[in-house]
Formats: sequence, structure tokens, C-alpha cells
Amino acid sequence: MKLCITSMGKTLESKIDERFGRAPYFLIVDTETKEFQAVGNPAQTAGRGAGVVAAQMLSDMKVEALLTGIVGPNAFEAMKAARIKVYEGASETDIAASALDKFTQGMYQEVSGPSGGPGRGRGFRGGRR
Amino acid sequence: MKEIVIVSGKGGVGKSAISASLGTLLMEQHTVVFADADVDAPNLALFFNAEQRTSQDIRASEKAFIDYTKCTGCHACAEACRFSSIALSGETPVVIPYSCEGCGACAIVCPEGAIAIDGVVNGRIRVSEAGGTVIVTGELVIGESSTGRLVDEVKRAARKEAERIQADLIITDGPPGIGCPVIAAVRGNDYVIAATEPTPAAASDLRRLLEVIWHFKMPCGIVINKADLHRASRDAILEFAKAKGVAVLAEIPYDRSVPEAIADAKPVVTAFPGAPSSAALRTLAYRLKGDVIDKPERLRSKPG
Amino acid sequence: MDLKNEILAALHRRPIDIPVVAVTGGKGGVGKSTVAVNLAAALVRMGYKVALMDADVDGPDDHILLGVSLERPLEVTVTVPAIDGNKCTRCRKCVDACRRHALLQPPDGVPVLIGDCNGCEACILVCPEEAIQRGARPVGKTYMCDRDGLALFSGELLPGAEDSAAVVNALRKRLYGSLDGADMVIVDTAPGIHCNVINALKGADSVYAVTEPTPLGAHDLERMLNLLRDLRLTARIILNRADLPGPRESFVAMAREFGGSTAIEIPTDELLLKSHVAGIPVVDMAPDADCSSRLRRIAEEIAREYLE
Repeated sequence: MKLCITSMGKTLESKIDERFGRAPYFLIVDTETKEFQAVGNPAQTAGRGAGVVAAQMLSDMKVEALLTGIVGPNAFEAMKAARIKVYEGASETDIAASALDKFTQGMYQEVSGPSGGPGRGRGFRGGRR
Repeated sequence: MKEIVIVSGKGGVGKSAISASLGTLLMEQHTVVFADADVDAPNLALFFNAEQRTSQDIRASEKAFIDYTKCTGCHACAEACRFSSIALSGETPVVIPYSCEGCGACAIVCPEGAIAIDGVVNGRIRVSEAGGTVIVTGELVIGESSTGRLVDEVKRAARKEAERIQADLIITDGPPGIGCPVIAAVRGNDYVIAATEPTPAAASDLRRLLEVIWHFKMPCGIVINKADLHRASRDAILEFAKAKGVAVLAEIPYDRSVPEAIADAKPVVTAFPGAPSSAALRTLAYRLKGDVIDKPERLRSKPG
Repeated sequence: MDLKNEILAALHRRPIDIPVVAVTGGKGGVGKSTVAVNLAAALVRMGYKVALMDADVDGPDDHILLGVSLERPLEVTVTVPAIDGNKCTRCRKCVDACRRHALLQPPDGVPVLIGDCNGCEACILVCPEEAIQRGARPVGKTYMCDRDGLALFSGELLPGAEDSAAVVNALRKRLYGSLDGADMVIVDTAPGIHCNVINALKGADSVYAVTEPTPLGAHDLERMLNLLRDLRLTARIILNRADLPGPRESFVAMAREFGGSTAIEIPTDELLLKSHVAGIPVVDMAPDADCSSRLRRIAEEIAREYLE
């Protein structure tokens, strides 16, 4: 499937950026072939509605899932509307390639609610640092 | 890194004074960045003898501009504006910049394509330094709008400074009210301190503020400033807090040392460390360390 | 092309030509509401009919100081787009027109509204199929309470909403639609210098800028006076809690620079707290007190200037 991984850099060797809204790059990866393309995150510089802009772009690219650290409430709603599954809990101690492996092994949980509020299950990593 | 914001609903209860003293106390064990998000009336830097290092114009607002070489005076723009921001001066449509929201409806309807929506400088961010800390001040340009977006920029700048000096704590002095700059200031923090004073008006504003804080699911606690001002009102706040399950972190008594310290441009914990208000602020700092700062993971909000 | 004159003329246009006095200040908590409420009460004591606008819609307090409740609620709403699935062709013109990026076109179905719609109706304007109806989103309420010659108009923003402007506009409309023989309008603005304060200052004949003589008060007052000058409004400074320590010379200098007349002083007075708690304006509760006579003098100044 087509997966978006939020990243600090443009390759699979780049570190994960945990923040969907602020990560500089999205790595759009085919989870089977591991082929990928790096795109700039439009949410990074947008003001209002940044999450919606990012979600629209991913939806148009036919991305099916997002792997990141945290997603705020507005962006989460947008991803839900775009029917993109959200997986939280990716850690910036990992590089994108490791996170991708963990994803394909089913180690991240899909979240049903945004991280805007505290106390939600966060899948692989549980609480924050 | 933890981020704590202080808001109040009602203005004038002492947000800036509390922020300045609280941050100063926490500086004893942490590296702190101060952020002043009260962009209408930023006062935090007045408590420190801070030296300004940088000033940056912020373009976080958009307005409509009419090209009168193309305008034919059809008034479609004035009719389309939902914010009463295009008025007619005789036959000439005039954009009222104070209330223009930059939505572009006028540009859409203009048959001549005579209207452009452009960014304007609506604020400034000043970074100053004082004795081991950095203060990031947001200031609205007089007459401008989009305070919420300007507050977002203040937070962004504060985080950048925190990274630069390896700070582990950002203390934000928030704006009064409950509108968009307050919402922008409150979001994304680890903890919200709702400051109040024991009067009926402040208590009423506190209730509304807490609704907003709960709406955004932020963990929060109450600080009662000038706590000995009026006994019955103070008791009413404590009862309300208990009923809603919100912690009262500290009660700061009123004494003359507070305004004297302000007049001297110092936090009261610096100018009068032995004063009763300083002791109460120290209690607040200890409480925050235990409940928020030294906790490894993010907090759960109490049921509202 | 400098349109300052035209902009200000349009800004200060008012629906009904009766005098408007605004009480503002910049810094919060300096006593704006106390002054506004007491000026209104004092004018009523003098036999005039007053409409008081509590334009601090984030946190209206005037009703508390007057000991009345918020009555006769009317809801304030803002338009939100309601997209008709039968007419929508998914052309996305609405998504592109929304400068707040509040519309998202999902893989199937009609565009969905997410977050921040401010009711600008740009989407409705661009839709070639006229597929978007006007839905309504509640953002607050206005209230009106009439009591012996003093009509209080209050507005209240719904917690979590960001549309203070819509509530202030609705409040103004309600006030001017229900003036009913009032001799004068007194406006109590919110603290600050942002667009909603400007909205409340529209059409004012004169302005009282309330402050306190502290460094914080001085800093914020200067910003307010600059705003008032920009709006070509004349202001008199009221130094509340005049006994607090601070840079007195700054205030003398500011009064000189911005308007020429000296500041009016009101010392700290326990009676003001008592009257706040009691919900009775001090000019009614203790008419012979020092603070009451100072406030009454201001009301008399207003009456002389605009009502006699």
C-alpha cells in the first residue's frame, strides 16, 4: 500500500520527524516495493488549515496510511475525512527505513482519535519522553 | 521540554507578574524561555532588564486591495463582503482594513479582477536576553488583526529559541479573553494555568475560560491571585474548583510588595523574596515541578 | 492613493445619530467596566436615558457590576457551507476558493468542512452549480436588559468559538435597533487594541482611556493612545488606582502629547470592591463617597458636552 512517513530528510535513511504538522518532508512509500518519493510538507509553512492542505495532497496522491509521531485534532479530522488511516507512535530515534520495517511487521497501532488530548493509546511507543 | 501557559479570561489579574516570578523561580533549576503571547499589550519584558537582540516583522495577515485603475464602481465587492469591510465613499468602494478578513470573496466577485488579496505585516517578534534567559515578545502592529496567527508565530519563535539555548521549559504569558489569540496560545501546551482573582467578575470569566480549556482537552490548574481580597469570592472559587475537579495550585496573597516590584521593573520574587506573595509563588513553582515539569509523560486532563 | 479620510468616515458612520462615549484602555483589569457602568448610572441619576453596550464579548462583566442577569438571549450565527450532493460535480472550485483551507475533497462524496470556517461565503460565490446552501453555526448570544432608564446590551462569545467580531457586530445591530429614545450610548470595550476593540470604538464622539499609573499601564496606554490617534478619536485619560507606584511623569507627558488635557485621577477605594461584590454601581450605593463624586464629575462633563 501507499504509506506516508513524516521525515526530517528526503531519503529512507533520514530520521523520522514526529510532528505531522511540522515535518519538512513526507516520504511516500510503496510498502511492498519500498520505492519512494519525497515531497515537501505543505503544512509546514501554511498558516490556517495546514492539516487540511496536507491531507488533501496525500488524498490526491492516493496515500492510504500515514505513519508519524503525533497528529493534532484538525489534521486528524482531515485525515479521517480523506479516509487515510493514521498510525502514531513513530519515534525520531528511528530512521524512516526502520520505521517502515516496524510498520510492515504490524508494530504500530492505528489511532481512532487525535493526540490533541492527552491519555490516548499511542501504539508502539506509549507515552512521550 | 515542557510548555506551560498562563491565561486568565479576565484581564488584569496578574498573568504577567505571575509568569515573570514563576519563570524566575524555575530558572533556579531549569533553562527557561519566556514567551509573551499577549500581543495586544505585551508586558512581560518589562519585568526584566532585557536587552533586545532581534526584531522581526511578521506577515501573518491578509487584506483586500482594490486597484482603482480597473475598478468600475459596480459595488459587487461591497455586496459580497460578509464582514461589512467594504464601504462606499460616494460611488467608490473602500476596503476598511481594520475589519477585513482577507477571505477573498470580493476578489472572486469583481468582474474586472480589480481586487488582490495580499499579505500585510501585522506584528513583530522581538527576542531579548536577560541574565540567563531569553524572552520572545509578540507585538501586534497597532490597528492590525489576525492575532491568533501572530500568537502561533510567537510560539514558533519561542520553540526555536528553546532549541537554540537547549531550554527545557517555555513559560508563556497569554492574552486576556477567550477568543482566537487565547485559543492559539493555549493549544499545544503541556499545562495551562488559569489565573484569577476573588471577585465576581473574575470568577465569571474564569468559568468561561475553563470551558475553552476543556474544549481543547488541555490539563489545567487554577491560581488565585490577590487571594485575600475578598473572602466569600475566594471560597466560591474553591468550591467551584472542587466541584469540577480542578486543582487550585496556589493562593497568592496581595501585599504592597507586588506593585512596588512592578514599579521597579522586577519580578516580586527578585525584589522581595521574603514577601508573602513570593512564598506563595514558590509553592506554585514546587507544585508545578511535581505535577507537570518533572513528570516524564504527558498529563491526563481532569474531567470537566 | 491615500484613502484614510474615506476609510475613517466609513468606519465612524453610525446608524442613528446620538452621542457615543467609549470607555477603553488597552490594559486589562484597570477599571474600564467600573467606569463605564458608573458613568451610565450617573447619567441616569441625572435624568437621562442611557444605552450601555458591553462589547467585551469574551467576558461580559457589566451585568455583574449592575446586579442584573443576562436577559432576552438571541443567538448569533455565522454561515457555514452545506453542500448538496445531488448538484455537486466535485469540480473543487470551493476547495480552492477557501483561503482558510477549511474544505477537503475526499476520495468520494462532496467536499467536507474541517475546522475553521469564518462564514465568508467565498465557496458559495464560486460554485458553478449553486450547490452550496447557507447552513448556520452558533457562535454566541446577545442579551438586553432594561432597568430604570439604563438599557444594558451584552454579548457573549461561545467558548471555543473564534468569532468575536460576529458577536460584536450583532450586538451593535441589536443596540441600534432597540434604542427606544435613549439620549446617549456608552460603550465598554474589551481590553487590547485589536480589531474587536476598534469595532467597539466605531462612531465614538469621545473616548475615555482608563489606565493605572504603573509601568505596565503606561506601556499599554501608549499603544492605545496611538491607536486612538490613528482612528482620529480624542481621548481623556482616567488614572484609576491613582495611588499605585509608578512613572507618573510618563502619564503627564502622554496626556500632553496626545490630547492636551490632564488625566482624571481616581484613587484606590475599598468601596469600589464593595460595590462590585454588591452588584450596585458605587454612584448609587454611596453617592457621597469620594470616588462617586469623581465619577459623577466625569458624567457631568459628558452631559455638558453632548446632552445639554
